Amino acid sequence: MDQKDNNDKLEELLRSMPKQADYRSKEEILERLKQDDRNFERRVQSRKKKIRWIPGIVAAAALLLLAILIPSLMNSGSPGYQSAEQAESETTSQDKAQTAEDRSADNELSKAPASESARFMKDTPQYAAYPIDVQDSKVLHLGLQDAQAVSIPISIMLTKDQLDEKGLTESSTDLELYNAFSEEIDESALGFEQLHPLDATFEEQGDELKVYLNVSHKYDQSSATQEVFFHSLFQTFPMYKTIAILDTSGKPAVFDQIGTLETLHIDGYETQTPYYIYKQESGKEFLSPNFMQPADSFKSALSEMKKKPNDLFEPIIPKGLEFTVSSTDDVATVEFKNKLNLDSMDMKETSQLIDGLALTAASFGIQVQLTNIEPLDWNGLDFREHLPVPIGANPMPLIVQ
Amino acid sequence: MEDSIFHHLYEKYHQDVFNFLIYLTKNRQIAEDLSHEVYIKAIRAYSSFEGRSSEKTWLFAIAKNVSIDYFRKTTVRSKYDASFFDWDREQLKATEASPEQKTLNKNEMQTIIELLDHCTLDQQHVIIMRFFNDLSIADTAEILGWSDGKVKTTQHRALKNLRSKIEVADMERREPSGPKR
Repeated sequence: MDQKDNNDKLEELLRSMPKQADYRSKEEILERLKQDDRNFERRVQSRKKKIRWIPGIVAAAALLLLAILIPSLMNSGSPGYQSAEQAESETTSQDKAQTAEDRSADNELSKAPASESARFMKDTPQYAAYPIDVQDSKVLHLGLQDAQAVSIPISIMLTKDQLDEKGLTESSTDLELYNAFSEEIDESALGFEQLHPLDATFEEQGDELKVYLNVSHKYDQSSATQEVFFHSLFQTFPMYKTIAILDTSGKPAVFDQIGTLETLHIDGYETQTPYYIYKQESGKEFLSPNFMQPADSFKSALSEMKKKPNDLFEPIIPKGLEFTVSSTDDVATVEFKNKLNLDSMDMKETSQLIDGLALTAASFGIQVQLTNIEPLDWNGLDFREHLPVPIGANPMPLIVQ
Repeated sequence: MEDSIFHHLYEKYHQDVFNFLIYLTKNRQIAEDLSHEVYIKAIRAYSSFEGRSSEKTWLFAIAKNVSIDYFRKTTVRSKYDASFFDWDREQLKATEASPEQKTLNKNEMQTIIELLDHCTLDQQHVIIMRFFNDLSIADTAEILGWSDGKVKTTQHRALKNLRSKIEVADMERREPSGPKR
């Protein structure tokens, strides 16, 4: 048989493949869609809710505007930038309020976080929360569900007053914060779908978190819902080492498509993730891992961060930016091949690059130092030092229902 | 309103999109999940559909994007990726063929499905759209956002790739296994 006959036979065979039908009824498919939080009636409810909470959004916008305007007005000589003295003064007062132990731990970061504070107060977009941003308060971590069925890590910047109102302190655990605030958070006002509070009860024992799923939970409804659920757990409770997902009797939960769920390990390979830019339909941008896809090393993570991983995420590192990475146990040094002039870059993209590098490094439990970069003092950051270790991604104010 | 969009999309395209997804994923449950995601995205985006492409290619483009996202996350899902559709329940197109011929065809088709795994995702998209879903070169190009030429080249390479894999599989079947002297 010659080549042409073979070609014809193969094409004929391909064309005769049987059509694969979906055996489900139309009603069954529609019912599943109606049960999906992202669609139909539930979406209509969430729209109504949004209207109800417009005053909340306006109040938050006003607060943000004040946060931007006040430092600009105070620094009329250098618009938008906080002076070194002011930054220094803030660090000093913060240090006084801290215990000796805290002071010791923060000491090596003292310069950079001080400038971070300046950055947080001005109109530079900020994609990571740093210790200085939560002076004598805490961050509430949340993995929020976007309309595209992606969980995005968010850091709700709680104030001391907000903690006090709930009887919480700086030493309160992540679970205590979650239990106190998760029911009140207006996820739709923050631009997300409703996911929290999760349909479960929780128990913590040191570094271990137990999640007792309620019988009514629907997290195993589809591969998308279970994935959002797992990723949200990772992002909501990053301080725990393990998360066990259990049924009401305390046995490991069983999901239809996976079987018995194994304990999630938060401090291992699974959370060592490169960060990318995620753009919501509204145009708002966040930094986020790509569906919690891990990387083998910080170096390979940076290599991944130059590529577009799929339709939903954009790379943080510009394509032509060449660099080498060398690392010790605790610090990775990223040396740019050609001197990187930050003043020539877009402010938002620069923030995304620097915060993204710091967040990715933090996921590997290391700090990062950038070299061959200018100016050495940029927008409050001091590149002679390591970048400070972020405490969370995407800082946002608390907006309650 | 949204119910009516669903009814419209379902009546016109559901089985075609499902056929595309199940051949791509080789798993009925996952194809059902992905078709759910396609509806979620399509219903949300329907009001902004501008008619620059046909509705069918627009919906297939959503299905293609959903499938690409799925395959880029398969490390999470690989544990339950083993099952495939039920051949015995499906109707072969060549109804006039003899029972023997049908069995032979079925075996060859199963081989093709298995060998498709060795093609790139782009090649799989083209083979499934062009041959299993009977889409034209122009429609396939529009769905994939490619030129007609790229579709033709990818199709050519995919067929060549499949043919060589079939030949290797045939040779292995004919030759006795075990160490050769």
